[in-house]
Amino acid sequence: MKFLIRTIHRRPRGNAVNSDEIIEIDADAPLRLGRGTNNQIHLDDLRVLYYHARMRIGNNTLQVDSEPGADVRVNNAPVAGAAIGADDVLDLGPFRLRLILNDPGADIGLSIELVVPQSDEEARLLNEATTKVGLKKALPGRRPMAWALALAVTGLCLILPIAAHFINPAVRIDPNIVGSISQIRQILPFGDYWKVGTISAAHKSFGSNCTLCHTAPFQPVADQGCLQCHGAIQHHVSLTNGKNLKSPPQACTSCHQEHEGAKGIAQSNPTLCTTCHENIKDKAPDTHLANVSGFSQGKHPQFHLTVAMDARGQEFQRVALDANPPPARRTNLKFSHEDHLKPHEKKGPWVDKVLGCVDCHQANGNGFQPVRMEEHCQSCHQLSFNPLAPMRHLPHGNTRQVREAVRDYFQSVVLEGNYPSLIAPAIVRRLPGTPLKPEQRAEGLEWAELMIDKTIAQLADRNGCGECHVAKAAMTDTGAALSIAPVFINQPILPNAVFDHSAHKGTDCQGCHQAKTTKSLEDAMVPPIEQCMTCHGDANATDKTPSPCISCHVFHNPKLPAMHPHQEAVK
Amino acid sequence: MAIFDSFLTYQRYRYLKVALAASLIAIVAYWAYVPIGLRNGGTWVGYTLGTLGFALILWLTFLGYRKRNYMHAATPLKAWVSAHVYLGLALLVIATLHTGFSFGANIHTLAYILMVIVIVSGIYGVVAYARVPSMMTANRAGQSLTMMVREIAEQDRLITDAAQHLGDEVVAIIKTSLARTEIGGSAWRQIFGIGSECPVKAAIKSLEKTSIAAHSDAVEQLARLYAILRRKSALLDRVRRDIQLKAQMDVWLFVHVPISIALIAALVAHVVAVFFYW
Repeated sequence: MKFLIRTIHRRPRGNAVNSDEIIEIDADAPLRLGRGTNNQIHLDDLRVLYYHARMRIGNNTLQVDSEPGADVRVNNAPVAGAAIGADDVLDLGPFRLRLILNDPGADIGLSIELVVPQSDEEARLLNEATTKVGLKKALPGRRPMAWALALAVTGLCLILPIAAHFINPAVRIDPNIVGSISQIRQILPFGDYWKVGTISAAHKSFGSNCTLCHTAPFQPVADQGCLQCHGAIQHHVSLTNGKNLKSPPQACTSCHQEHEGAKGIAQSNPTLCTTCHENIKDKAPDTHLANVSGFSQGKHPQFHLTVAMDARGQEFQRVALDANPPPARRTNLKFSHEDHLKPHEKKGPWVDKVLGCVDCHQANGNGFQPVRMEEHCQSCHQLSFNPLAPMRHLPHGNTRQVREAVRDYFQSVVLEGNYPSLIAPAIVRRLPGTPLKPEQRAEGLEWAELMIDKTIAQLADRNGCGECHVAKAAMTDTGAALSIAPVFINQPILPNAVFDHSAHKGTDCQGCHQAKTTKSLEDAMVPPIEQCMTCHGDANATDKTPSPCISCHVFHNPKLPAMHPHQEAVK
Repeated sequence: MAIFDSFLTYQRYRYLKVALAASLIAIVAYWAYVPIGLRNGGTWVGYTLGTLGFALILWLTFLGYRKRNYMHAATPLKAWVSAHVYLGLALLVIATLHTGFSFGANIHTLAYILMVIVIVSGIYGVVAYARVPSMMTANRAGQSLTMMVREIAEQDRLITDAAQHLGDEVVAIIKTSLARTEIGGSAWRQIFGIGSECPVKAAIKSLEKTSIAAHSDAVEQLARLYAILRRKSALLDRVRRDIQLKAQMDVWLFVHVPISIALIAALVAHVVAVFFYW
């Protein structure tokens, strides 16, 4: 049986060229189609399976059966098997086949045309090599990226924060609405990332409210911002006394710089002080101050104590610790630290006790509570005045009451009798219960008055009040009068420095204060500067505790008036 | 290496000396001046370093404009590039000292970070321009990209012919590898390559597994196909290496240029912010 295979080639313009081949086939055997060369009908294309389909010749039809997985369509509908006639279109992969019935040279045939041509791999790859190679093809352009980034940065980092500043006028006007700032900032949080650094811990509570200090755009922070809270802050030097002062008053911000972290804005840099104080007479020719350039040998003058020239506390002088004679406090009080810190030999309630510093000096804040007779002395110094009546104690602090107490004692002795003194009159020594006649009573009271005056006079000496006080007794119209010189302990003795005892808690008091060898209160036992310098050094010291000026000294002098508006008034 | 040497060694390292001198002066000024408070952009040394840094950034950015007009200028481009590279490095010292090493989540640090990105990408660029061109030349072996791609297409034709008479299983592997062979692609693929995803390599691997099952009469054809695939794979490797080298040489400019412009915007915001809230 003759079978026509007509291969149709279509030229680029569309006209077809046929090439015919006639093969001899067995009408009963199935006709094979596929890519494999052992098929009777060979379809040379990778898109066709090795065995793509089988055919059986019918009566003017062909029965087509698909091989498993093959792309077989009849009139565009996928089929597993179908009979095709002259009007049907059979597609096997990229090939289109039609039945040929009326060819004179063959019994039956098929026309085969490649209708889905091979893709041009070379063209595709060359196209990719030009369109998909190079980062310019894969990334947005550098110029659009630059514009987009610049616009985003300008919008978010410049325009929005400025807008936030002007949209919150209420915040700028009323500095007291700190509470509502957080609410406003939730809506417009754009000021925060303008901050150049963390705000100091003390200012954090209003730190988000920029306009509280930065009152006007493009103007440095003015003192007025600070004075809203710190209005009472004092000057460092008096502007009215220091007429020759050669340093103009400066703005708060020249020393106090915000946004430098949580540490606080008080400056500890000693340069701030030494700029003037290392040659202080250049700045203030009238000053009595010595030059200071640090806290090490030769850089800081010896400590000067402020001591009263007399115990009235009206006139003072500043005396250096190493002066000759050394500074002497006039306290009108006789007290020996040395004696008190020794083990006692006398009998008394103190017999088993050796006193220590803390028995009298009790810490209070960064200093000590005042030493009081009643609390700290009287348990030993009980103010008895007559060995025949050891339980009778005089009151402390009031000479009139002292005299009353002595009088009270001797008058009761007269009234009660049985006074065990051989040198007393017989009526005072009479048996108890013996009544007194009026003239005896007068005699007894006269003796009592003598004893009162005698006792008062004895109190003034060193076995009585005079043991601690500068005491005098004098005869007046109303009898002997005791006078105690007023006690004066001036505080502070180092008024230009602040010494924090609490910072030295735990160290031995006598490491600094030579109490065991100090006999007089004239010596305030303030250690010399060399003692401090054994531990403390310059602000940049590496082998000692770095001690900038403000460790001991304050800048704003509490004795001077407020900087504002005083400063403006002086101008 | 010749071009590289010439702008780095230009006039006996003239601009390297200038940059070192500028950095040294900045470091000395930074340490010598002890301000009240912290050393930062707010001291007079800080303001000076900041002004210098800003001016330097504007001038360095001007190179971009200058490069496009080098035909009409008196100063040789080489001098500009040399100064650009060395003074750009000095900028890192000057700007870092300007910050006083205080950084935070704010626009000021943003500007600094952008500047560091620009400088680091620039350093990458100098290194890339020094190394990559010779690597590209060696990789190309005298061929252009188009020539290499044409050769790959030729291998594809040979593969199609060789596969024609092989079994459906083999043809399926080949068809997949042909259709999936790609040149270029996303920026990531170009810069980092495609590694084990290569469809040709996958096809070679699959063929190694399936060769036993192939039609025995086609063993010779299979061996031929295998050899062609290996050749195509080698060619593809060279093409991809070429693309990768080119991408690695070009990628820094996609950072350097846009971030430079963003940096100038951030600097303007930085300066305005500092003086707005003076």
